[in-house]
Amino acid sequence: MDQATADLVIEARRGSHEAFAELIRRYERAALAVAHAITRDAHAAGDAVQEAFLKAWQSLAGLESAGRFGPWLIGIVRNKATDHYRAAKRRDRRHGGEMPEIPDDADPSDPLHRQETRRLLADALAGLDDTSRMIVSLRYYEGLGGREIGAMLDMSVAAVEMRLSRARRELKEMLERSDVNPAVGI
Amino acid sequence: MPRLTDEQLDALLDEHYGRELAAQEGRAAGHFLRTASPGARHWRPMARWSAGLAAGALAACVAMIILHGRIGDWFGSGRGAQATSQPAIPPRMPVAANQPARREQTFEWDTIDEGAVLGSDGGTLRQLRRVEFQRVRLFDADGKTVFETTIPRERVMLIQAKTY
Repeated sequence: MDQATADLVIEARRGSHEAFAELIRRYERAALAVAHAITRDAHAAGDAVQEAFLKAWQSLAGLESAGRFGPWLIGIVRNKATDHYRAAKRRDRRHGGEMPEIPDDADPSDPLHRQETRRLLADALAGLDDTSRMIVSLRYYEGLGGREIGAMLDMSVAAVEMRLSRARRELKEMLERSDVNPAVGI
Repeated sequence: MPRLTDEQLDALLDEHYGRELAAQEGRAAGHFLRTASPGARHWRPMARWSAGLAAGALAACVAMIILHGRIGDWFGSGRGAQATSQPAIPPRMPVAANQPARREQTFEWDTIDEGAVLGSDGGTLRQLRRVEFQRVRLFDADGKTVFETTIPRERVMLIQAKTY
């Protein structure tokens, strides 16, 4: 964590809403990446992130060190996202199974093979374990390197790189097994 | 099956996450400032229950009046009108005994999810705002009158979010 971010944490702990809002701007993408990896739903991820930041604001006094803000926040995001995921599962069970997913970004002008490729990729990502999915989303959405991801998730750099490499291999295998040529959808 | 290169996989993943999460970016900071800033409203459990109960009671009263077809009496001769054949005050909208006024009702509603808010007990609550418009029209052929009323209602529902 850079000094400016640590200073923002200290300011926020003194009660500065503006400082905390700036921290939200800095960490929002990482938080969304983690929440999306758990909920597998963009809207639920957005809601979980909002709630996590509110919870973090209320619990700032319990943060041991300003330098630990990132992993501490990500821990809260993971808990909130897990709550959302479980609630969604309960809803699904009440409605008698998985609700059919209605793509809200379907564009009629979008070629069918692209839509199919997106669906395949979403299915392939769903086949990974939560931690691997978090690593993949932090790398590809937030653009973090192994060291930063390791710091966020309390993992060693080697463990992050190993999981990322394995996840990429699994994703490729899953995509290549399909009838659709995923390379056409790019 | 064609092989997927590393670059192609990278491009697919970049595009996937950008597309999925772009709409969620920027929500959290604005929401925090609206919700947690000193001027933001904090809900107390009693306030939210009493608001809900009051709205529920009002809705129940309106439903009872309409279901029992007494809205003409209510607005005309008053509660005692049924007991006497000669009401003391002539009804403003007379309803013939064998020919009740024709009645139309429409009910419109919308529920808006306003996201998470802070409760006074430190927990987060989910805030849903339900806006309702109930319109009642009475047509009285004898008196050639039309009576129309609109009952707007707004309910804020706060749902306890599970904490860990």
